[in-house]
Amino acid sequence: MKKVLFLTLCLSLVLFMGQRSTVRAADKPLVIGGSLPLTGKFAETAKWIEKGMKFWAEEVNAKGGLLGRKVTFKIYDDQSNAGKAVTFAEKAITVDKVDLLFGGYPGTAARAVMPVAEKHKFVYVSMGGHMKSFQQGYTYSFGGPPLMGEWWYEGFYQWVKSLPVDQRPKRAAVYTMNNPIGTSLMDSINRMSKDLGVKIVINEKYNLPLPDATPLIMKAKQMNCDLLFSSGFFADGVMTVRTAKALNYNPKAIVQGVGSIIPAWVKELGKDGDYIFSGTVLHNKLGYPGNDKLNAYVKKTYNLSGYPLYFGFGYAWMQTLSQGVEGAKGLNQTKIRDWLKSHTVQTIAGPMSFDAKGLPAPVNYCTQVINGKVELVWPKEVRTAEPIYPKPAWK
Amino acid sequence: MLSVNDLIVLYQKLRALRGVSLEVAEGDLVALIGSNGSGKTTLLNSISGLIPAGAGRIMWQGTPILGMSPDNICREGIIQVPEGRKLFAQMTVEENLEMGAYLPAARAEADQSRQMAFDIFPRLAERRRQTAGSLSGGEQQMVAVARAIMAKPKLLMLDEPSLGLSPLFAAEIFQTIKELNNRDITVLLISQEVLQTLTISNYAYVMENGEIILNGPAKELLDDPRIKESYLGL
Amino acid sequence: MNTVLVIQSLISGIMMGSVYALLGVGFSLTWGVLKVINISHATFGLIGAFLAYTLLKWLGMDPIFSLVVSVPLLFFLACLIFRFLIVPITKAKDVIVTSMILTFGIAIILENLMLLIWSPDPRLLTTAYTSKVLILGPFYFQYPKLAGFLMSAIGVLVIHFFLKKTYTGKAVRAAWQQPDAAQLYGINLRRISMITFGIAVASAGAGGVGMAFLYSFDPHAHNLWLIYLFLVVIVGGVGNVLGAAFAGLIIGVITGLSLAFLPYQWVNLLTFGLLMVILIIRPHGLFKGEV
Repeated sequence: MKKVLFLTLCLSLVLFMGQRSTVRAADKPLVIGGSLPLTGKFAETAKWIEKGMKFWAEEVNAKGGLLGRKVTFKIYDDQSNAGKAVTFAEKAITVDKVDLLFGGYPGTAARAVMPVAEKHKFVYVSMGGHMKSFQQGYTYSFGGPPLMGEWWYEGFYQWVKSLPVDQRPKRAAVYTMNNPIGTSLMDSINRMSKDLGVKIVINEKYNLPLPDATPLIMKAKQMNCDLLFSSGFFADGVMTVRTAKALNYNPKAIVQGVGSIIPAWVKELGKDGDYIFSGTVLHNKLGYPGNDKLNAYVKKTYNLSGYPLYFGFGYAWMQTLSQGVEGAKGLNQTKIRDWLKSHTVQTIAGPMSFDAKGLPAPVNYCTQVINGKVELVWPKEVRTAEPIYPKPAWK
Repeated sequence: MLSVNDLIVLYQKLRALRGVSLEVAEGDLVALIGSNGSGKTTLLNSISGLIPAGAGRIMWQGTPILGMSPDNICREGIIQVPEGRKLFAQMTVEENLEMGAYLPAARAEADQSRQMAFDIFPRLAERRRQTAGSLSGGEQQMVAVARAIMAKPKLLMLDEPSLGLSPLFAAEIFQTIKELNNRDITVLLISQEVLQTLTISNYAYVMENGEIILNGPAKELLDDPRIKESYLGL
Repeated sequence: MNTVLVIQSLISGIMMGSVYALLGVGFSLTWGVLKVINISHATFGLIGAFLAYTLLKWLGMDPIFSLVVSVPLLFFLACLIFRFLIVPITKAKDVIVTSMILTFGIAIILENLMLLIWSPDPRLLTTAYTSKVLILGPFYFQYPKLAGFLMSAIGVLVIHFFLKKTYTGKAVRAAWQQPDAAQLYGINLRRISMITFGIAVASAGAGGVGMAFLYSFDPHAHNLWLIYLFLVVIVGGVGNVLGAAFAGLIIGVITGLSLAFLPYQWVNLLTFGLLMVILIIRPHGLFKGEV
């Protein structure tokens, strides 16, 4: 009897304390923690993510905060080191006891933090680390939106499918950088070859750094390939394109992996960077609500004509996370997770419903560089410019 | 011309030279003899500025030169033919001679000097395009002396020029040294070939354990019983 | 066998390798002559590349002419660095290791300065002749690569003749072969070392422009270029100018042949595998070490 009484006392004390702390918490700011590579080789991109997140917070705080509490960030600098990203995620959760975890960058860091989030049962909305990272059975991780190599050429593939059969390219030369990102890009290409009968005539992987692109282009030209996939980063991508021009190799379409969506592509290559196809999961010309607002903000603040991709990512991940929090009406991580799995969120990348893996339905927009601008060319409903195909001969 | 006073050199905390004094007058051919490790080479390298001295004084034509860098001492006309010849082995004979006349003053007279060197060592003229490393020991010694000639020495210091040479070559080298001295070059000669050295020298110093133990006109030393016993094996 | 592809790969590879040679020749020289392994060598090359980029953008100056500015500038900068940073460490017990640590620090400082000045964005050198080609039969000679090749050939020959034919150059060789004797004959070791370091660094600037003709670059690129430097020195022999040139050609031939005959992912494996083999069978390089 005494024991029961004692237990009840303890329990009520705990409840009371708990009550008190939630009461107190209401005046305390809501802390969202984690790390970004603010120094090191990913720093430039990460700083745009940070700006996107902070813009979101500014906006939310102006409207009275999240759950009525002001939002602040606790951002660690993981120095572009995935190992440190893990340490800081642990620290944010266990030592700083943050209320929410924000998404990481790049994919290697996100992939490494996903199991940490799972262990501590913290919702983690990030770009993820391509398809494999979402196939590990994690339930708290969401790609909202994700950066999926496997979906990268999906938009291009859908667009080719829309072409009359006789206009489609027939013979593809596929050059892929030999790393997980490059390999993930093969997914859509293989499907295209199977579904659309595009013959993969050359399928070669190269290790970075690519010393010389001349033999690659020579071979593609000799084999009469009318479609060139150059699935690489900036350095090897520009070399491939320049060599194609020098050797006067004119396929119907050149599709580039990651390099052509970074601003330097257009800036440094100039006219030679035109007509290159690529893909993206997010774009500042998308018509979904919010994009105009972001574009206006970066125009005013940074004098840019459209928000950079990663500014958008930073913003969109916070959109997804905050809608989960509002939907769950509290900070119970499991409730947030369950709400996200059963509802649709509205983001600047479009509406998203997440499956068991934490992924939305495959999204990809086909882009083409036209007159020095990255334009959306597929699907039709988001199109900002007519695709130019076949590619005009080099001048 | 050159006077060394109470020179002390510490080498790895050992006293390599313990208060050495020595005089070389203009036009002299002075010999410095002594057994291995007695400090002769250390003395030469201190004069050349390769080794810093602990204490003492080195005067050259009335001015102190202690503490000057080796290239500046070379500029003064004090030229050393180092022990083991130290030729630029991968360079040709001609290039080695050119390097002897590296400083502008010497370079201006390089053509005459070279002619003189080739007159003295006609064999080098034949070998001028060969690398120094490919020559025989005797020929290498000729290059070493010829290189020094190129530097227009006022004082020529030679460290064991006959080491490792056949008796015939050695005799030729000593002959040459005497000849150079006759051409108004002051010479300070280190050698273990005591008999030959003393024969051509006019003054000599004997070193033991970093000290001068004996000095005097070369002819007198040749007759000195201590020299006869220790160095000439008589 | 696809002869055209093989020969084209070789042409392109050799032009590429020759640029590595120009970038590496000075690295080899400082290593051989001064016993200084200059980890920041490629960083100076990168400065040359960025200067060429800026002069091209601002004044429309051709990258090759930019050398008139960057080569003397780098020479002067190198002399200062030598006087105030390298000279003090030549008294260290192990100059090679100490120099590596010191120049690694210099590389980091310079990299950060470049980040401040030029931002981390990747750059491309785009001239009027960037995509021009000389077509001989079925073979293409891309102008930027030809420019790199010619620059390299001239650069290496200039350094070679400097060392073989000029008094100062001969003094550099003399100082390397016999430092004591060189001093005894009036060679100021410190001055000669400074000149050697200056020439090496200035040649890196030219090599950097050559690299910029081939590749895009950003302030981190020197880390990658450094690997090519070691490749050139280890194949060509430490301190060997013509060896460095041959090393460039050999690297070019191997890269070209493997790109033509093997799956592409083997290329780096083969190149660096070769490096290992050379290190094992000829630790002093394929060519006899001689300046």
